[in-house]
Formats: sequence, C-alpha cells, structure tokens
Amino acid sequence: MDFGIISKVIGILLLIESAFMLPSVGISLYYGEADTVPFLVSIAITAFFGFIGCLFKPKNAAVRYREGFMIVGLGWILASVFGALPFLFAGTFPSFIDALFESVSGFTTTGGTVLSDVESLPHGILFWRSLTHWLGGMGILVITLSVLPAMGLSTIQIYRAESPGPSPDKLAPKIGQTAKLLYIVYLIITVIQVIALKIAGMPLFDSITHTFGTVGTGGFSIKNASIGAYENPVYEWIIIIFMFLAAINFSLYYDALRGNFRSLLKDSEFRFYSFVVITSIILIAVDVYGFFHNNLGEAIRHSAFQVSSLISTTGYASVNYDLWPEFSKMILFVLMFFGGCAGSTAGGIKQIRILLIFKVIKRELYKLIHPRAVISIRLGDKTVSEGIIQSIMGFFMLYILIFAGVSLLLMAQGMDIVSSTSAVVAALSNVGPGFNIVGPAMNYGGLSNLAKILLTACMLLGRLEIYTLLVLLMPSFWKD
Amino acid sequence: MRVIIVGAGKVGYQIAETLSRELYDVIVIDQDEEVIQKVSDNLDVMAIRSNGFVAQTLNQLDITKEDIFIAVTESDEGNMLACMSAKHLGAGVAIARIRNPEYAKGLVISKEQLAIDYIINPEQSTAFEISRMLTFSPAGQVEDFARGKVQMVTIPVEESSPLVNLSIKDFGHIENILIAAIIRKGQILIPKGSDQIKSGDSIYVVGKKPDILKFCKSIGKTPGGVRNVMILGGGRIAYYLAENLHYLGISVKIIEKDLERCRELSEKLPNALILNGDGTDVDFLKSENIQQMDAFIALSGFDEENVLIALLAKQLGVKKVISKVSRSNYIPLVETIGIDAAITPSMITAGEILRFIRGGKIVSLFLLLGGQAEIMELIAHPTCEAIHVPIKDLGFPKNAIITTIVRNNKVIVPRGNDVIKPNDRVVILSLSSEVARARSFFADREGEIKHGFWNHFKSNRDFTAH
Repeated sequence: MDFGIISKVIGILLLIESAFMLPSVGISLYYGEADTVPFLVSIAITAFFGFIGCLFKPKNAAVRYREGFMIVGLGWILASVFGALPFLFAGTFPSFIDALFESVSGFTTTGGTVLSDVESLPHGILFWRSLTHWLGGMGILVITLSVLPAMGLSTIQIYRAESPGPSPDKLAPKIGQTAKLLYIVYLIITVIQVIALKIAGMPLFDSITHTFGTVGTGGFSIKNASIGAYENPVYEWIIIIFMFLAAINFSLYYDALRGNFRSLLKDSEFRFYSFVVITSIILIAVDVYGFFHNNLGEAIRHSAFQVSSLISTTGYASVNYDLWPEFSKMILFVLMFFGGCAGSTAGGIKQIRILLIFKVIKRELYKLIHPRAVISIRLGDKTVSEGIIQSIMGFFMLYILIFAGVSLLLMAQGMDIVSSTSAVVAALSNVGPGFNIVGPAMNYGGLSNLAKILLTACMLLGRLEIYTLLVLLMPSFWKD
Repeated sequence: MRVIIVGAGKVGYQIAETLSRELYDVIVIDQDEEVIQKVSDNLDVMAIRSNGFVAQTLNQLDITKEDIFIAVTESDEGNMLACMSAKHLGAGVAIARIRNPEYAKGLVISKEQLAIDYIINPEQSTAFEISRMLTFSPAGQVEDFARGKVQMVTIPVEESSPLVNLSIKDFGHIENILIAAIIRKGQILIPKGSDQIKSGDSIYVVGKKPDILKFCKSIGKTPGGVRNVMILGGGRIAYYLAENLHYLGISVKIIEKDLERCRELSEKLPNALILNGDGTDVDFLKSENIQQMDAFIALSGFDEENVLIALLAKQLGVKKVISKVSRSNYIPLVETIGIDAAITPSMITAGEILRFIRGGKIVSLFLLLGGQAEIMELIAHPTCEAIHVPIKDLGFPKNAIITTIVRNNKVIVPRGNDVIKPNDRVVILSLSSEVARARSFFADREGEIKHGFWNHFKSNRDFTAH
C-alpha cells in the first residue's frame, strides 16, 4: 500500500474543505453572530492537517485499486470528522457523536438531524450544514479529482470507487475533465434553482441553503418544519421539480446541453424512474385525497412533493406525511429503497439496479419455460454483462442484509419496528427522515449514542455504495 | 477475357470450374499445395501456388483492364487488400468476398473507395435465399431492387383467385402496389388500365416488401403461412436469417451447442430465442415444440447431421424443411428423400459472382421470360428528359412502365401525376423492343446513363439450372 499517495490526496481534500469553510466566516461576520471564531479555528486545524498530508511524497504516480478504495473510504471519514469541527466548537451540539452524526448526515446528503430547533442556529453554521450537502452530493473526491491529474496522478480508481451506480460514465477521455464537466452541470442547475426560488419570493439566504439541500438531494432545512414552514405552493413546486431533476443521471444533462435531448428520452433508466415517480404520485394522491379535504390540487402537490423528496432521497417534507394512511406510507417506504438514478446525487439502491433486477427475475421465469434458453439482459440496445448482473445481485443482497441487521440492533435497544426499519433505510439510502419517532416532524436527537453511531456508519456505507467501505474490512485487503 | 481467382476453396473452385468451361481464361492462385494440385488435376485452368496478396505474385500477372479479379480467400481483410492491389495495377473489375457481418454493415469507407466493384457475402446471400423460400412460397420468382427495399414477385392466378376478371384500374386504390406486367400464354404484356386479369395468367407485382405481403394476404395468398421457424446451428447464416425473418414478422428459435456463441447471438439478436443445447437430442427438440414449427432449417456444420435432423423434423410434422448441404453432389439425393429444399452456400456465392460477371456492371438488370422483357434500375440524371414532368405527360413508351421510384430511401409507387426528381432511382420494366427508348428518358444529353449500383442478393435459381 502506497501511504504517500493516500495522505497526499486526502491532504488536498482537506485543503479544499477548509477553503469551502471560508464563506461561512463571511456570513457569520455579516450577521454579526458568535460563530466566527469557531469557523476560523476549524479552518486553521483542517488546513494544517491538509498541509501535513500534502508533504508526503507518493511512491507511484498511479492510484491502484487498493489505494483508490483507501482514499475514498478514509477521505470520506476524515472529511466528515473535520467538517464536524465547526459544529463542535460553536457549542451547538452537546457531544462529538452528535456533531459527527450531523456532519456525516450533511456530506452523505442524508439530511437527518439530531437538532430539535434548527432555527436557533447561527447563519454561518446553517450555511455550512447546507454546503456539506452540495459538496457531498456530487462527491467530495470528484472535486479533488478535478485538481489531481494536473499533478500527474492517475485517478480512475478513485472515480470508480466514489461514483454511484454500477458502471460510471465518463464524459471526457480524462477523469479530471469529466469531474470538471460534472461540476459545471451541477453548478448550472444550482444557479437556476437559486434564481427560481429568489424570483418566487424566498429570501436569498433561504434560497441558497434550500437549493444546496435540493440539488445535493440532502434535505437539511433551515426551518424546523422543513419546506412546509413556508406554506407556499410555488416554492414547493420549484423544489419538487429540482428534486426530480437532481436524481437523474448527470451525464444525460451533459448530453442535453450539447443538444442531444434524445439520449435523455431514450435512456431506459430515466424512463423507468419517470414511470415509478408518476405511478407513485397518482397512487398516493388518490389515497390522500380525503386527507386533504378532497382538494385535488393539494393532494397532487403534496403527493408529488413527498414522492420526489423520498425517491430522490432528499428528505424535505411539505407536510407531516407520518400522519398519512398506511398505504401511502408503505409506497414511500419502498421508494426510499429505490432511490434515484445512477450518476446523480441521489442515494438508494438506484433505479438502474432495480430495473435490472426486474429483468433478471423476468429472465429466470422465462427460463422455467425454456430451460436451455440463453438470454442477454439489455438496457436500451446495449447488453449488460453477466459480471455486472452478478455484482448488482450481490449489492442488493448486501443492502437488504445490512438493513435487516442494523434494524435488529436498533430493535434490541427497544426501538419499535416502524421507527427502527425506517431509520435504517433512511440512513442507508441517505434520505433523512423516516417514520414514527424519526418521522419528518421529529429528529434523531433522542436516539442512544450506539444507535447514532450505527446510523452514521449506515449513511457512509450507503453513500459509498457499501462495497467501497466493506472492502476495507477484508483481511486480504491489508495483505500484500 | 481473363479471370483471376485468388483462393481456391469451395467457392473459388466452383467459379473456376464453371468459367473455364466457357470462353474465359482462368488463373487460380492459392497458397495451399494440395488445393493447387487438385485444381490443376481437374480443371483446364492455370494454377499458381503463391500468395495472392503480394506484389511479387500480382506483378507477374500483367493485369490489364480486361481482367476480372476475384478474391475469395478465407480472410476478409486479405480479400479487400488483394482487390485494392489488383485495381491499382489496372484490373477492370474486382470482386471480393467479405463475410464478417460487422464489415458488411459498418465500414467507414465505401466499396467504391475500397476499389471493390462487387462485394459478396455468402452467408448473407444464403440467408436471403432461405428467407425468400420461406416467405414467398405462393409467388414464383422473387427479385429485389434498391437494396431489397423494392421487390418484384410473380403470382400465378388460379381459377379460384379473386383476381380473375378484375381489370387493372380496380387496383388503383391499393397503395404502393403496382401490377407491372401480365404473362399470358407465354407472352408478356404491359397492362393498360382496362386490361383484365384472366385465370391462368401470372402477374408481376412490384412494391415494398410489407405492402406486397399485405397484398398477398388480401388475395388469400398468405405467404407460406410461416410464423415460427426453428434453426439448428447458430452460425453466420443463422444470424442473418434470424434478422431477416424477424423483419418479416416471423418468430425464430435458434439451437446452438456452444454456450459462448449462444451468448453472442443473444446479444446480437434481441428478438430471437437462443437455446443452448444439442440439436441431435430429439427429446430436447420435442421439449422445444419442434412439432409446432412451421419450418425447420438445419444449418449446422455437418451435412449428415443436417440431413438427418431435417428428416426427423419432417417426420414430426414440420411443414417445410430446409437443409444446408455443403457438398453439392448430395443435393439431388437429399431432395428425393423428402427434404423440401437443400441449399449449398458455395453454389449460391458462385452463382452470384457468375451473374455479376456475365451481367457486366449493371447489377440490377434482369431478363424476364427468356429475354422478352427487361427490368432495370436506373438513376435519373439531373439533366434528363424525365425530370419535372408528370409521368402521364411524359410520352413514355406504351410497352414500358415506371414501376417504382426510390427517393431518399423512400419507396414511391408512382401514379400519373407524380414527378421524377434529379437522382431518383427508378425501376423500369420494359419489353425488349422499347428498352433503348425507355432508358433514354433518364440519360443526360450525351446519352450516358448512371446505373443503379447497389449490391443485390440474387437467387441462384438460373445458375443451378445449368
């Protein structure tokens, strides 16, 4: 293992992170609040460790498989730890575990909080909370990657290990170029949403923080009642649309920007995703029609908001959906497993895997009729290799195993079945709120420390698509 | 005229044999000593043992414009290279066998740029032949034009046919179909609107494939009624055949022993059912419902296996059974024991090359009924007479007819008011006496004609009749 290269890349990552803390200093000065000094101290510490990391000399210029996994796994853990420093120093969180939970929840774009009253937080902290969503959404290492190739390092392994989905697309021949293009698309979507919300009348600070939460599919709000606090249908529709958009594969936007709209419409994952979203909206709207006193417009809007929020794994709420009928809640629960499309900022199992799993099931059934048939699994007109199919089945199995295992551990501490299972899937799929005691009107503050640590681990596992972190626990990973 | 054949495999040998019996001087080049020995022992040709791709060999031949160069070695790339070299040295016509389906579909450079006059793909030709046998059993002769977009079929009119006593103008409302000619008592006539169809006639119908299919159905001539086909062996012929049949709306099952090849096929043929198994296993065939198949086609690598399984299929009640037989000597025997048809790819290939050589450069020229009429594909020259005038005002010869126009890949069956545009491809049917006049409508002022120059996959029927 080449520890030189690992510490160097992570060093750069920490330097970038400290740079992104700077705006919070400006904001706290502008509002004249007490979080200026905590931020300055956090920046100094983060930058110092980043600088130390950069001093190491890499042995090889290339990042191999193991170093790639190590950099991504360790990078995410360290970025979260250092990202928790402002929360800790500002004194808004009672313990380090709580601060780390909040930081991991931010970077992994989960958006589940341990705070019961976010409105009392200083603006610098609120901004940093939302900014972690924006950074983590596209991947903190993707930013690092856009800097790295200039230093003569080969970094394809890092990209593979961090990108969501079974086989990440490359937009340009060079990884660094791809990373830049992705961030440009991301930035464009972000700017459009901020402008849209501002025009609709939302204050600028609220627009920016909620946009970070939306396009990163995070879900931290600066209001206790989330988006529902504004009681403004226009805001809700804007956020519905952008939550839906943020869960679509970003390489499709890149194609669309170059004038190739057809590739978006022809993409089988996008079609499947749209189908799932529209069907769920209709089913839930019908179910909650009575709940909204037979007001169809409202039923559709709130159904659309909750569906796009949970399928994109954002976790905003326009109403307390925990009070909805069981049928609607079950659909939302299943959507939390599905998640968005590969190559987006969303979490979850990903639409493409679900779609492929359905196709595998269909093939298995077909094979009962024609036992000797050889059938390729196709996406559009391309065939999917058996290797990818196997890894998807493995991933699905692992997802369910971890879900069941951690849920059991939570139940062992006395949590009820609805709260514990929904909390675990909310963490694993990076959604945020679940049902019952972790529902949209509640928070994670009341959980035990052990539960918080388990859920923190789930968030990281989910964001890095399980394999990347689990491989670090394999004994053979550490043997040469 | 000299014909130089590089590669003396089955196809090369077949061509050399046929041409050497005619007026051609044939030179056969092959690297294999044994093959060359066989050629020089059995045929009246010059046999050279050498590498036909290299300058040393080709320079010795003193290639001139009169020469026809045919490259039919096992290697596609070699054949292309040999043709390019021969053309460079001045050969008049170069013909290459290229069998890789990916080359056939997706080369960046055209065959003109490759300096190849005619590309032949034996497997594709064979597949076309088989699919034609399956789909148009009611029709006698089937010919393709404009890359297979336009088809002409001959349909015999029996006494019970609904067509009897209908006049040609009764078909005016049927879109995209044209009755181009009527054969009555061995005479071909180009019909006027008032002419009636009589029992015992045969009619030539021209149009797009799907439209012809529809027409056949409407007159109670369901094309063979073939809906399910089982193919034994997953080689290249099976691949092309499955593609063709899918296009014709026929469902296909392919049985192949090799699992890797099955995977490949299932990737390339999303609409066919690929079965991995041994085609000689009768229980397996039965479990896949061989009895319910409308047709069974044996295309494995072994003649004996093909013939036996095809016989078995026939015995189990399959309506139409076709077997591939590589050794053409078996064909007469095979067809006497109950197999509906036996096909030999090398014969089809050789037949196609021979037709090309004999037909000169005009690929799509056919003689109908022993030369009474010709059907040809021409390109309307931008300065020619036929352009911008409605067809009914053109003064086109009475005994000739413009059957179809192909414009930007769209097939138009023209009516009187349609207009021909520059560079349209037109398919014309004309009695021999009017051919020159009919052609002159599409030539420029100097009288030069651009001929349709597309590859066609012709049946080998007239060749095997020799």
